[in-house]
Amino acid sequence: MSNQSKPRLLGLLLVATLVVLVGDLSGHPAADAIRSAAGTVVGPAQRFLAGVRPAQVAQLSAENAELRAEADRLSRQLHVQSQLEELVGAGVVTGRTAVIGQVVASEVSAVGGRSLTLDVGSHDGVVVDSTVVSAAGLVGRVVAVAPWTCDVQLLGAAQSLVAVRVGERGLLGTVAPVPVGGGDDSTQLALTLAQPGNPHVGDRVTTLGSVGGRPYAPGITLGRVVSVDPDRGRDTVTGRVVPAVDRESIDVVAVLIPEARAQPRPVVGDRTGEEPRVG
Amino acid sequence: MRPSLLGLLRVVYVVSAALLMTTVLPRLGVPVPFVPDLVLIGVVSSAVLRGPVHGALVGLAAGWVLELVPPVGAPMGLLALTLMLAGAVAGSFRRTSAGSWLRPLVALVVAGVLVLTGRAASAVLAEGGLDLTAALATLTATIGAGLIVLPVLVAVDRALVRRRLG
Repeated sequence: MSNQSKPRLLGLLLVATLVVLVGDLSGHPAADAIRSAAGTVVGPAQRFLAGVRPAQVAQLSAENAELRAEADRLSRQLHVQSQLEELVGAGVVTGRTAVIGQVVASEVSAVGGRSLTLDVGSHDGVVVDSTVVSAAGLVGRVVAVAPWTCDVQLLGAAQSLVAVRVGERGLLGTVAPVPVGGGDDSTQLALTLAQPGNPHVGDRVTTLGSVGGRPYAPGITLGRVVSVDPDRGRDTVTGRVVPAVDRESIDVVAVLIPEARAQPRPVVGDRTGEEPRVG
Repeated sequence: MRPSLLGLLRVVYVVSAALLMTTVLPRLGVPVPFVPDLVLIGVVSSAVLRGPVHGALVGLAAGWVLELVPPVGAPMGLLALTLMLAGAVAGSFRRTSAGSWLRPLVALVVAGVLVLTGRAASAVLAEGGLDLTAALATLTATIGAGLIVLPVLVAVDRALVRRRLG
């Protein structure tokens, strides 16, 4: 190369470079064309050097997706397992015949409250009016049964009425949804005592139980008293109860299969110690 | 331009150096800041033997090769300009008599600092910040690799010129 052509070539290349630089900075489409052309030409060489074959990439990404799905499944299983352990650890199913189910669908009812669908049904031994509990306490009762699923009326749904005992003294009463216009907090339930008494705020509310455990098994935590309405000369004592179960996050539950008593109870002494059974 | 073995070797060296820097070395587990600037070493080796104009030309051409090997730099062309300057500066270290072994290395250090400054400036402009540790790591890696590669390249260049293949 002659001594004159070198600076000329350099100048030419420099001008071309500056043109491209300014073009790229100003966002000219030609710059992107150069980029994609460079990628098209050099890309295969880079892929070869990196040791990646297209088929290998596809296989690896498929494998990756599979493993990810597996990991999701396992973590889901772990979650269910931990909820199950919590459920068993809480003791609500101890000594009872129970089927473990999971929520597979939920529906918000227009008239208030909600209903859930569980993945257990008549083939699992679930019958209408079985009690549904979670680790925290009472969830609701089964209102309809299909072969493999069942529908649950949640506590606090319209027309649900639960006979309860309140506090250590075991005051008798009922828990029903708050009547329309009767309260601002939709998560609360209305408590009505069956006889005069003075429940305290914070008292535990448990189910009273029904004959044969239908629709509610006895002794299951329902919630806590959060307020007692002031006594203004009324006959009945009323108040508000907050359910122990968070209705929004119900997942793994146990359905308590009611078992009718077949054996008569043994007579104990003069029968004074017997607990009354009220349905 | 008359094609020559030396010219061909230069092209092969620059292209493989660019591929080594962008693909092979990172793939082999070399952390990106520690990848030496092999293209710059090649530019310096050619420039110190022939002067600033040649250095600038080789630097510009090699810079474009490195620029166009994906990932393409942004803004496109800045790296080529930086390498052109580095080549010109390295070329100014030329001495007609047989230079010492130290001279190309000094030229490499100066050119390396120049490229580093250019990259730092573009990083500050583009990202608003500069990883000084990474930049110094790159410079150290380049000088370290230059200690081995640069004498070899200079020797090959001289030998080819002596046999009239350049």
